[in-house]
Amino acid sequence: MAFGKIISADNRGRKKNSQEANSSISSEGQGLKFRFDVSTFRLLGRELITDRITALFELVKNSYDANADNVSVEFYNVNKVSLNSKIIIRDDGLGMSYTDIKNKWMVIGTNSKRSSRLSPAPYFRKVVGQKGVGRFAVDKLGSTMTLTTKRADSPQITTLETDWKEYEKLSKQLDLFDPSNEELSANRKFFTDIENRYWVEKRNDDSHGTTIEITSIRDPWTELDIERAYKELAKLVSPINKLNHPFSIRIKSNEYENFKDLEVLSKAINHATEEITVKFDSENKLQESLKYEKGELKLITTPYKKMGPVYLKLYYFDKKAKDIYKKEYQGGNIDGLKIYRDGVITTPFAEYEAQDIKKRDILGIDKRRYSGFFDKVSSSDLLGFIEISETNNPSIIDSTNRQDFVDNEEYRELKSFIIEQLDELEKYLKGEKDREKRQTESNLKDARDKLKVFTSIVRDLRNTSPSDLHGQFDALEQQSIQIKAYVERGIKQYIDIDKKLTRQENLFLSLMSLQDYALEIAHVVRTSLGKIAGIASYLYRRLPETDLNEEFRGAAKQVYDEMQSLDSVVSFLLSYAKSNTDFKEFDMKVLIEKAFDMHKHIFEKENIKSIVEINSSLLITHNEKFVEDIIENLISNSVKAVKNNDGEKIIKCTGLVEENQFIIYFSDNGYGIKEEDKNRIFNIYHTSTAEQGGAGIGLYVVKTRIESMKGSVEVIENEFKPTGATFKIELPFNKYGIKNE
Amino acid sequence: MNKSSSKILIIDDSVTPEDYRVKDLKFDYEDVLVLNTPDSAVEFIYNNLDERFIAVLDYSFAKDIHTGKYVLDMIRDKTQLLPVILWTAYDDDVKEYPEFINQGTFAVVAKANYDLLREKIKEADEKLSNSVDGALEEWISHHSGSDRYNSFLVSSSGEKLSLDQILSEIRMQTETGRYFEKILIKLTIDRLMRKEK
Repeated sequence: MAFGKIISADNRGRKKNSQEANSSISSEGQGLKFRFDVSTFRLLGRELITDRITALFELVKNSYDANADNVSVEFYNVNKVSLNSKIIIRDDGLGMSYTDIKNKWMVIGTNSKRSSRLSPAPYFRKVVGQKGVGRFAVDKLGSTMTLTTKRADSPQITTLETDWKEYEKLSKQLDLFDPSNEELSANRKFFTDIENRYWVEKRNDDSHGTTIEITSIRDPWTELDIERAYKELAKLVSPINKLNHPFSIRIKSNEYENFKDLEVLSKAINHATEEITVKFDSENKLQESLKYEKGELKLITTPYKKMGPVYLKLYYFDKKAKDIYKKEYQGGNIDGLKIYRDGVITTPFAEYEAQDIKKRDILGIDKRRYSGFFDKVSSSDLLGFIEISETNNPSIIDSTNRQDFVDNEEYRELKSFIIEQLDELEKYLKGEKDREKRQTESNLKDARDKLKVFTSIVRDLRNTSPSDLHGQFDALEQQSIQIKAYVERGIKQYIDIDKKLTRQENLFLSLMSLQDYALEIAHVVRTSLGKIAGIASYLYRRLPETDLNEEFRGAAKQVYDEMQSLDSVVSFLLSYAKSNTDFKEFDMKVLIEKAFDMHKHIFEKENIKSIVEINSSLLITHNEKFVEDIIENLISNSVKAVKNNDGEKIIKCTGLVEENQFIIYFSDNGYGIKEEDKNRIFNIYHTSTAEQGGAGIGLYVVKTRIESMKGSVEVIENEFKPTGATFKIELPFNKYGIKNE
Repeated sequence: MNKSSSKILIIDDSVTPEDYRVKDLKFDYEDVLVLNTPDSAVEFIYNNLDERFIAVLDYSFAKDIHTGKYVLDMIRDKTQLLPVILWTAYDDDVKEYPEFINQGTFAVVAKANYDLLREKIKEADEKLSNSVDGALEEWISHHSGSDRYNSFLVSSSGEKLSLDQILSEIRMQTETGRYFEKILIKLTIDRLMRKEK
């Protein structure tokens, strides 16, 4: 590989040649040469830096890594591109000596950032720039760069000029390069042959820093563009993890009044409806996480997970709070959760995307079913700061394409952890909403009762007052009776509207869960069809080779089995289509016993001991099919869980009527549920029984059915030891049966 | 009909060796292997980089944290030569299609369309036959006799290589392999041109 040699500076009328520069003079060329090839140029410059705001971001990150306290991003005459247009990034960081430029700036892949992950003392910042991307970012902004830099301990300023057009030109020539042409080959110019002019000037003071002046600007910058840059730059440093050595960014413009000289601030966050902090305890290696329990959002602790400890600050905004926030921060975005490493934003979140719709949902918050609907929050309701660190979370790594993190177990764990925190927050918000609803209902009823008392007091007063006041008291009584009637009507309307809303929500949910079913069923059907098509194709090609008769018989059997499986899918679909139609009275005890009885043959075949203990009959009016679905899915789930038990296999269902609740404990002594799966086991597709044919839909059906009956289901401590699972189901009922609305 | 010397590798958690698609393909290809997990597939491929394979890769694995995308990335980390056919039941739900295309996936086939899968495997097989390594393998099997095991070429670093070793170097995309591939193409073009004159 031809490395550029150190050579003398061009001196067209400029000062040059400090002692240091002189010492490396060579007669072989006229400038400094970058040490990289065409693929690096393209990869780092054009392909990794996807837009110019990211390019600015990279340059500002470089200033951060260079221990700068201040950096200014200056725009001059950029509204209309002309020869006078320029962008300057100026910092008061460490600066570079001539040798730094030669050995670091001009060499890709061997920069100090990679050998040391910390910036020099006393700042010791975790470096955030990526593999020398910053210097190529300039190309995205404009094609000519003048870099001027000085270290505090050096009496000289070094200036380097790079014309990216030269590289671009050569890059095109290399595309057309014909390797068979030997003459051309011999004279072929490489990227490393391009010379970059530099010169050195003396300055005997302790000033320091780097200034990058970019001219031949590629695109105009409107005020809106600069505002976007401002918003993105404001995200660079986490507002919650205060840096030991502050880093201030300013934007300056000679054209836009609002950006004449404006400090970029990551704003303190006010007006959130809920503010939540999830911490960790490094001494005892405990991670906090959210848990909604008995009307409260609590913090529980568990040992560190494989991903390492995580600090999470979450702000939730309801509609009113969002409006206030947006008004105060002039359209400031509430745009979801971002991951910060050591106080500085991680690359996948630093990529700029102007259109909301194109923004990548890296953490999968909006990919969740019903996200933004009903009681699910979406990115536009949340601002969140997830703090990780290089030391604590070494396996959370930005992927090389900068669009995401490396897909590994730890990163998946982090994503699940975040989603679980949101799930708990959602439960809490729903609980609060229900509580407020009940409070309003109770206040209205209270008002009605007080009016009743008021009316009766007025009547009593009338009867004991002189008769000339009777007329006035009568009028007052009439008015209070009328107000009471209004309040009663209001209560009725409130209840009616609430019922209507619940019905609508149920209908929506039912339609949307049908989408989930449809997707799942499509998968099952298509896999099955694939097998059948394979068999048909095999028979078509191989018949009538008689020595394959056994194979043909096997094929027929497999088609039959596949058909059976398809039939059961169709039956399931049909049962779903029929559900939600007929409410009738049935006995819970009888129904559960019947469901167990129907599985008798499986229990016998698998040698499973089934126990059903229900303390009393309970007649309820509801959709019988819902309860059947719940019990059948729980049985089927447990059958799979105990399948590989070495010893005894037990499935047990206990039913208790307690006050206004029917409580079911459903247990087995199978392989159990991992602690970390307890919250997500009810999600569609989450399955731990795939080997036994679980499709990840059963417990989802259980949960949705129970919720539609206003009940709840949770995994509690397993009844059977050492392994097993116990589900606790609570179904509320009133004297008319299970509460259905 | 002669069997192709390609081996088919089916990476899918819902296929067993008893599957009739496996049995059917066995009539036309030297062998059909089934691997049910991404990790076992990657391990197998890494250990057999010097063989002529066509991979049929499922996208989702119910029990695994990895998808077919991971397997493809791992394959491409080592070789560009192995044709990979993506087959999936969710033919419209793979969000990483562009990435699959960028990583040189040979074809994408819906699971229910077995005939299309056969067709694509055949095309991939033909492509392999026309590739440098495929052509070289064919040439070795027809012409070389014992030369395949004897040293045939000395590399610039002084390493002695037999024809079989050269083939293996090409398939493993080593520096020597890539270099040999390049000069072979250059030489062939040169020879062709001269003859034409």
